[in-house]
Amino acid sequence: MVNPACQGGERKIVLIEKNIPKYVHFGTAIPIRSSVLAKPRGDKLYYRRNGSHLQPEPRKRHERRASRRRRPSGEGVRAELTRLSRLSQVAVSGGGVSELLDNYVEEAVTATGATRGFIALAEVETGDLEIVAIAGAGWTDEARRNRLGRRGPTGTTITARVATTGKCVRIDDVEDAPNYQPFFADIRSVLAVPIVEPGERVRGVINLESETPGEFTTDEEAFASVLADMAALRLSMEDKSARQAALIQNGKDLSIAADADALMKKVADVAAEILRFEDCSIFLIDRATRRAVLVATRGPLAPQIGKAYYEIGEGLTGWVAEHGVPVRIGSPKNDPRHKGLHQELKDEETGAFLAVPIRSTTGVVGVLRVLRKNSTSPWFPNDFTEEDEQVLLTIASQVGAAIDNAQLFARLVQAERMAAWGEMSAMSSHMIGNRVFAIKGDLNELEHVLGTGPGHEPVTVTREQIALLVGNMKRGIFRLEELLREFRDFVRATSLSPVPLELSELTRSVVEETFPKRGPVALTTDYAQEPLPAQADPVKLKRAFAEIIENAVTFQERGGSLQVATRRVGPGDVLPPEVSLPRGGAYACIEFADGGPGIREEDKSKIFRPFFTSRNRGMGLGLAIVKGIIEAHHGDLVEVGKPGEGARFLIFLPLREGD
Amino acid sequence: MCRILVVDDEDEVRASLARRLEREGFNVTVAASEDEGLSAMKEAVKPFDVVITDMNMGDPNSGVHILEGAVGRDVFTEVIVLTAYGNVANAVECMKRGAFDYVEKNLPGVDVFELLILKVEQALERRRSSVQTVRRLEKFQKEMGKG
Repeated sequence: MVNPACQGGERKIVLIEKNIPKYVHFGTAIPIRSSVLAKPRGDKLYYRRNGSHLQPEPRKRHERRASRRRRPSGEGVRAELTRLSRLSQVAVSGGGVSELLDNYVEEAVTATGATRGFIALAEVETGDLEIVAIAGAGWTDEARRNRLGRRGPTGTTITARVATTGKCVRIDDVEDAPNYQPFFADIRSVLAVPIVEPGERVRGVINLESETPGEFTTDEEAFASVLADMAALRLSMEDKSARQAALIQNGKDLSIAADADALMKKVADVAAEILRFEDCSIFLIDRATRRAVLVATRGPLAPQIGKAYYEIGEGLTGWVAEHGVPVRIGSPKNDPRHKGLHQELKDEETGAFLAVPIRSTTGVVGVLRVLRKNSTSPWFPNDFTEEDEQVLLTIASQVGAAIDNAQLFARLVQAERMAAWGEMSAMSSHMIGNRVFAIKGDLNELEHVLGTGPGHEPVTVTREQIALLVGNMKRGIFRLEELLREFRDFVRATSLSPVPLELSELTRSVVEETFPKRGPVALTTDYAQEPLPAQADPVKLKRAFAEIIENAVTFQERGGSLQVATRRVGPGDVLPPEVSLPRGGAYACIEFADGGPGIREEDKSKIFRPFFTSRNRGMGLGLAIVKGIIEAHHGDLVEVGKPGEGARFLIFLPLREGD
Repeated sequence: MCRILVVDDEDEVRASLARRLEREGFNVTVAASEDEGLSAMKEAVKPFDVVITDMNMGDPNSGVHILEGAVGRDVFTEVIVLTAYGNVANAVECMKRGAFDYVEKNLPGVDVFELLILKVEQALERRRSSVQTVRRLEKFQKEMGKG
């Protein structure tokens, strides 16, 4: 689509609209810009927007001005087209934003013939302008700092004025502009164009300056505006992809999270950091008390986690919990619902407030709220946008789904355990009942030999006979206690008190405590070099690992081997097909391989079931307890050994990474 | 001397039952599983007078199978079923099929061994009277035949 006006370089076009960003669109603008770059000298055609097309319109002659550039040839136009095409490609390429801005300011200086130039961007939280890219002669570190730094009111510089108004400023000669504050003594003319994001928010300014008066015309202004638009496009793309990445990361974290508290903290971090909120807090409704209780926050409310709460309907947060509708306002203190109970920022510091409901299948289960500080720049609006609200609602629905998930998981575990309980009560009345029956038999016999029973005559009795009976009863009671312990461990397997710990260290200490040093079994260990950090219950894991070690030792009474190894398993590593774990996370694998008889093929599916045992003691809950403990940690336990070559247990536990 | 078979898969239970029954002067045979119990009854030269069996030995119907085996071998053998406390459904089923009685192993506050001895004596009594009744009936039929 080449505008005929551009062909051959014979006719020239100049855009006459002042507020260019509103008029220039990428599709139609390229040929126009190329002519802009050509610094026209002869007759000019003026184009005016008419609907979606630019229409040529005769206008009075634009004031001619000396230019150092030659009239463009066909070659020249092609060269300029190539330049613009390259610049647009840079805008959407994979390179970094700062690289892009460096590139653009350099191009702007070269193309407009400016002495120097810079791009300043608004710092998102406060709205302070910061120089992020420079080009041209005369820059010093000091100049860079002084230029717009935070000293002094930002409203006084040209750059700040452009940022405030969102309009281009062009000064042909600074000597005619009494308010101009020169930073460089040699400056005569200045051009500053705003970088306006979709949604009309000014994100920054491209500033060009020259030693020559009248260096910048509408042509240069148009070119700089195109660059500004492309930069704005790229910056907003960058924001969007950061948000997308954050949402994806959040979704992943939520699906593999082992620990709800750590997860909520992570959600708050993601929301606050990547989405650039000042602070973020999550309140979840406690079912028993019907209060929205603080479960995660980043800032000063942290000591109140688990304590601070809103009654439903109390304050803005309670209002959101009650009505299930987001609240997005500038200053909460002016809202009649505001109570100021638990605040991350003081009333006067809070510039914007956004709270959205967290919904699960059972309705509103909590509130996710974010705050922004007051902007220090009067021109920089830091209200939350519709888009911010949508992002936060997305995060809230992820959290809601995760809560649903966790509740379903808990209910499933509960249902499985209830089913086990039924079996358990039958099993325990059988096993405990038999032990008690035997003990009662011993007591009956004791009464008989002592002659204390009903209707008994004393009989001749030896101390040995009595000692034998007492020994029997003792053994019976010990076995009862063993059953009780197993019973208790089984019931408690899934209630964890997790703390941060390192899994190789934990394995090492269990092996040292449990493995008999002078036994007939040879031990080899191979612990991972890298740390394996996890959020886990050390007591429960020790119980689990010890059970497996004890099994290995018991089944190799006449000698054998035990190999213990730990390693990290990444998302890309191949796992045995028996393992069922959510994908995408990193795990620790703890392996216990023995040289015993191994698990028979027909028993492999049964060994983790409650009450399965090949030993004549206990209730057969041992490996069921181990499995329960590992699954409660959101990990998995499998047996992958070959029958006859020994048992090989692999335990997978999620790693706690990235904190 | 009365012959009693004890069938239970728990070593201690078997041992304590045998000890108590022997104290009463019974001739006690033990079996550690349903299968052992069934073959003990088949192989016995003279049928057992009383069989005491656990209800649940891996299979919740072990007691029923033992009862069937005992009655199949000799219709006069009396069977007493031992059950876990509070689990009498299967035991009642055994009673319908002709078991003499059932005894809960863990009745609170009851010396279940003494209770069991009482039941065994009652069972032996019933067996004796059944046998006598049948003998009288046979004698009567014989006399009628002669007459």
